[in-house]
Amino acid sequence: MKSASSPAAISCPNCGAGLNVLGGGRVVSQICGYCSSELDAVAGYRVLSKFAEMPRPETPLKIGDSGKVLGVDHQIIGILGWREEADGKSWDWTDHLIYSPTHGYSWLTLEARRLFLTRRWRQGTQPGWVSEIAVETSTSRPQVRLAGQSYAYYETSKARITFAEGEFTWRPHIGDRATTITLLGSDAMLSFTETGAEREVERTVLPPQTALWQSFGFAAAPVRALGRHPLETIGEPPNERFLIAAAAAFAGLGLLLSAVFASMSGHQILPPTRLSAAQLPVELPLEVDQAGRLTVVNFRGDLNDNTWAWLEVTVSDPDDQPMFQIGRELGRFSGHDSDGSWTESYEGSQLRFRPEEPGRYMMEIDLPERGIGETTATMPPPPLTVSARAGAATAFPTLGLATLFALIGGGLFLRRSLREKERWSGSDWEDEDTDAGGDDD
Amino acid sequence: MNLVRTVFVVSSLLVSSGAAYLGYMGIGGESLDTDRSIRLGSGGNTFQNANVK
Repeated sequence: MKSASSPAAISCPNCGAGLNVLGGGRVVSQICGYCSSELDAVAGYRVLSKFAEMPRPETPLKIGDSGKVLGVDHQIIGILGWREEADGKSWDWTDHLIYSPTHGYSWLTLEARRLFLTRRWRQGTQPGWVSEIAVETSTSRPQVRLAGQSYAYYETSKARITFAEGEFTWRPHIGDRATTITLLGSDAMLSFTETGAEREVERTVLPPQTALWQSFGFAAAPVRALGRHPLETIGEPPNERFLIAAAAAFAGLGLLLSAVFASMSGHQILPPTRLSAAQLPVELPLEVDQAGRLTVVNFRGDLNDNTWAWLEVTVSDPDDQPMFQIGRELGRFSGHDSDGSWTESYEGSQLRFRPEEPGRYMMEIDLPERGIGETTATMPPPPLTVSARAGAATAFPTLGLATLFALIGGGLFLRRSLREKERWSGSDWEDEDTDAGGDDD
Repeated sequence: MNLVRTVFVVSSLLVSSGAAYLGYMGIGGESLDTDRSIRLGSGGNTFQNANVK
């Protein structure tokens, strides 16, 4: 650890270049950006080693740049280039070690052309560590809980350092390797990084990009972000979760009301009345005591097998004016075919109407046509039982509304599920029963 | 609660109340096959008014 009287600038003992000393007291090494010499920051900046020529990573940021990261002033004191290679492909990213006298050291990582903020997580996780072997032997996507949130396994990366410049709190070397297990939560990623000598748990967030770049002196992001990162919540409406929950609640309310109305069958105004062939046609009264409510008349024919009858009903209002007429077919059929025996029965029928005024309504009922099979036959009408209830309710409007709310909530949920699926599409976890966990709120 | 949530909840309550009223009154539950075009009385002088078929 350096003393409080550390210099503000030094000359590289190898090449003589002027180097600013920006980092705090935990800096132990400094790598000259001109000659790639590694200097010992705690022992007079003597040369420890010299790295071969290093490919400079692509970053518009440089040592000494200052900016506000999530509202806190930080200065870039070190830059590391990383490369991961697998299956003939390679991925590069740049870590900027940033320092704040009040908040200490953090990483500002430029990856996929976005700047991520990574801080060491010291408060513990449950479980405390996720190893590569634990991931490989797990039958389900590994989960970690942290500060009340759940994180689910996302990917494993094995990277090496390709470039180093500036001050560091340890001694990085070109070619140093790190294995990182990354888990994804609702708004952050959790990393379990293991190098040859150390283990680190870090938490990464994606700060608002425009404000971040502007704080470092750029009018806008100098590079355009590539693709969609799982930490981006672009496209998620702010009220989506609430609307899904509210739509589900109103759909439930609609179903509950539907059940209540379906059970409200009203009161009887015509007890079951069995009409014989000799009594038809007949006029029956309906004593309606409530205007505007639903009146339900039930008809049931006592039909022999393979016969039918045509039911005609004319309803007149209390002024003896015909209101309407209905015609329904009652029937009962059965038989055998190549698929086996079959039956078809529609011996019952229901008439529902809303009288506009109370009073005595008259029903003229007849079974004018009858038949056997598909032909008309001369035969006596079958016995017919008629009953009626007034003051009934109907479940159709509330059932329709419940369906509408279910469609709204279901549509929003489906859209959210598709977005969540896309969010996890970059994960290297393979499971036939792939679950996109990690979001428990 | 923000404006969008308030509007959604209030309008949903209103629509649910309306649907509940319709359900209680039986509106929407009537038979759809009633024929209301039936004639009153004898149907008039159909013999002399020959252009009415």
